[in-house]
Amino acid sequence: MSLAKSSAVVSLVRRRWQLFVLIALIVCFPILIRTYFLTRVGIVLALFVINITGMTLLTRYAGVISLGHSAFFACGAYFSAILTAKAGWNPWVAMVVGAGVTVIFAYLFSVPFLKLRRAYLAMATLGLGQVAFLLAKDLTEVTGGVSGIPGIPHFSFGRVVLREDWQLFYLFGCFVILFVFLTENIGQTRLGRAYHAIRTNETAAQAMGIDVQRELGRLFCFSALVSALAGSMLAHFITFISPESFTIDFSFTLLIIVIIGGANIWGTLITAVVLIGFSEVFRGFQDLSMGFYGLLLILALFAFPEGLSAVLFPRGYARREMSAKDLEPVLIDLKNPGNLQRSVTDMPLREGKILELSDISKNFGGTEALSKVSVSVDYNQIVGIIGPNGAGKTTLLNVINGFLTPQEGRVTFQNRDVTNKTPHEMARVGLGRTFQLINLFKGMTVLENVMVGGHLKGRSGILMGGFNLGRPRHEEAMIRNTAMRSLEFLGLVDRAYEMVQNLSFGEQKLVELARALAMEPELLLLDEPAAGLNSAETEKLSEILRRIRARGITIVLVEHNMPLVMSLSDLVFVLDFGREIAFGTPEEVSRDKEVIRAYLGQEG
Amino acid sequence: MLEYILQFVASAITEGCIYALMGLGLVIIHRSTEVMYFAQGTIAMIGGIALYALSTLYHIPPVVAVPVGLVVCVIFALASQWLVVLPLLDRGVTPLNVSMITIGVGMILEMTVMMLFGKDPLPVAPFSGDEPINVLGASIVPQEFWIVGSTVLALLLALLFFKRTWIGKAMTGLGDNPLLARASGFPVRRMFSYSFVFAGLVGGLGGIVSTPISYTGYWIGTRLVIKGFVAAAIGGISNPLGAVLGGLIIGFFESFTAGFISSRLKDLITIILLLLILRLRPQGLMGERQ
Repeated sequence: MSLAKSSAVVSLVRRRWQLFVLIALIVCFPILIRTYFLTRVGIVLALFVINITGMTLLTRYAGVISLGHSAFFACGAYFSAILTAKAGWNPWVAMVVGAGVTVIFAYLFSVPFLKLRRAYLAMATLGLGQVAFLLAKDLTEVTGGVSGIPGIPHFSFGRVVLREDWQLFYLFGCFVILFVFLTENIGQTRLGRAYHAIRTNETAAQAMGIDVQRELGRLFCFSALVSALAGSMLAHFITFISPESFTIDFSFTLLIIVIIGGANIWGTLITAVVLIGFSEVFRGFQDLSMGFYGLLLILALFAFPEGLSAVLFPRGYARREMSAKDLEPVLIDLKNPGNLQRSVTDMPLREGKILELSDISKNFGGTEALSKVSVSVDYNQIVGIIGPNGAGKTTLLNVINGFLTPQEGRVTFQNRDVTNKTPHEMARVGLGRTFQLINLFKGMTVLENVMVGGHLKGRSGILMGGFNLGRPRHEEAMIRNTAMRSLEFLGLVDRAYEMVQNLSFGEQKLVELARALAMEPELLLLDEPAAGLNSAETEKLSEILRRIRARGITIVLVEHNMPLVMSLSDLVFVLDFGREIAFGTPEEVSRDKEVIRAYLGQEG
Repeated sequence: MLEYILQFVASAITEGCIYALMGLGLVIIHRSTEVMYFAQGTIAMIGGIALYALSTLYHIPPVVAVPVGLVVCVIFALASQWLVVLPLLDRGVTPLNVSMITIGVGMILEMTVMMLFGKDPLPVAPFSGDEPINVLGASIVPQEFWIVGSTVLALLLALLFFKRTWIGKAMTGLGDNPLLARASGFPVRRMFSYSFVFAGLVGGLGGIVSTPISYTGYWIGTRLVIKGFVAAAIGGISNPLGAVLGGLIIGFFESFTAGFISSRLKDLITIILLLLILRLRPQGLMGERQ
């Protein structure tokens, strides 16, 4: 028993050694460093580190460049300053209120602007930072203008006023540990993978059920909250604030740190210590600090284009070794065993139509891509969609999937009208999808890619996931298990910890299929699964698709490989120039005059 | 009242021309490389500093000092391209991250200028005296004519380049599809170089002609490049003429806000305009929807 306990501690320390080093450093710092100046450097550093935790997730994971976080930093600081120095509130209450108001502002900003493409979003955040700075500078009646707000009280616990620097250092140190802990947890689990997915391939991320707008909006608000709290701490630390702390240089500095640091909180933390530490220690040359940052930024990006973390902590997150436990059936939800665990015998017998398209028309700027297309697919069928290039096959899949909305017609899925649903909503109701061109998330392992497919198995948000207790752990184990089972199903278990871009083309196509299976879909849409595969691989694919169907999953596939489609499909649907020309069994279709004409006409 | 309005219009056009020049360079570089060239303001600052060094310190007449200053700017723009932008793009760093790195380029140049020329505002004499000219009641200093004149000239040359030369035509045609450009055997690197030469020229011009009315110093670049971005974003980051339109719009908004409401609000109004445009028409007034 005690052995098990001590080994649990050992594994915790091994997994979390960076956090323990950080705690030790924070505890020891004021004891070892006794000079007034260096303690203050430590405090400034702590404030920067708190700021970069949110920025690391936002910029390096999710790929959102913000040039405006000085606005949130300023908002937290000014609310705290005004509510305490002018209205006489308690600093703690002011801090919470300031952070709350900042989150509301961040939300109001994110609703219209997070929709913008990334470069435009960067410009909008630049504007946001400028607005905050100008308001601080010019709204003299409220903010004191350039002369700022003096006389801000210190934090206090009861009658103990935190006036000494070492007290503040410990206080801020606790916040540093908290936010670093949260950020690391978020980065390593479901939401971290979702952010990575959004950055590397937004289309595929949507198809996996990730609500991109919502997830980015929440992350943006979270990073704003973190910055606001840090701003408030700044105000109660130096007891005086003025607009010059909140210039665009501040936002630039944060951005430079996370770009050099890379997609890992420890990488950005080390970068922050080096950069801020140096520039504070050589304070006499402070004017040179921005130039120094600039030089470091350029040199660092030449030395490690993926960021410092890529060198210090290779393979990013989830560096766990493979264990036998991965394949054990953990935590099976008895009410919903998931269709990979489902065996043929206990397969629910379902009759009727799973998918029905009626009179779908879609045109792009006058060109009719689909006109009056009607198809219906029964449960547990394999339906092949064929047709010459440009016949509208992928368009049809995109209409079913919700990437496109048809001008006319109705899409019904499991007796529900889903015509206007978005891709992530379609994923939620049970639609899996693979793509014509490989749409994997680069920079993640095979297992992590497949785990993105299990995104919808979890519901915990940023704060829940950050503390990683209870439900998120349960969800993570479930997602991991489902992903491993999908990989096992496709014979890819031994590749689970490879980086996905190192796999062969054929294997990458299988990973895409595994990712779609991890969604545990009712219906699987496959866009040219055999394209680019050699004959042995095609053979294997055909066997896999049969096995998938045997698990009770309905399949609709678009494919050019005729022998494959004809041998696999129960029904074949033929499209030509956006119109249905035949729909029937493979034998009927291959005898159909129109079909022969369309194909021969194209080839001859 | 009329003379007030005329005065505002004059200052709107002058300021607008400077912003237009800044925006123009940004648009051209963005078209060819997808990089937002944050060092553009610093390039303009270097133009102003070069003019200060030549004409204030060494009393070289503007006829010589201005072209030399432009050459200096082009050299710096090209150097930043060859030393930083291209190698990083080649290493697979995303254009958005390279954009952030050009902030670093700007910072290094600013620090160097600060060490060499100090922190005080540096004056440069106007090209042709400072006796205001009375135009319908508005008094206009001759330097403003230089600013407007050189902007118009730069624009005409730019338009000739884009409409008449094959590489110019290709730059506007292929700019937003570098992959296609590369696939079609187009000399992409030469296009990159041309766009940086062009940005160096217009950025330098903006910095040089504006210095006599506004002083110069190592810090002016950030403000200029932000205005340039706003101009480009309002007009459309994909359209050179859009940047010019955007620059003039900002000029008018600033001048009239300062004149009729309060000079405290002029920067704020511009930024709010930017946010509004990004919200309602993200591709800018003259940009094409993508």
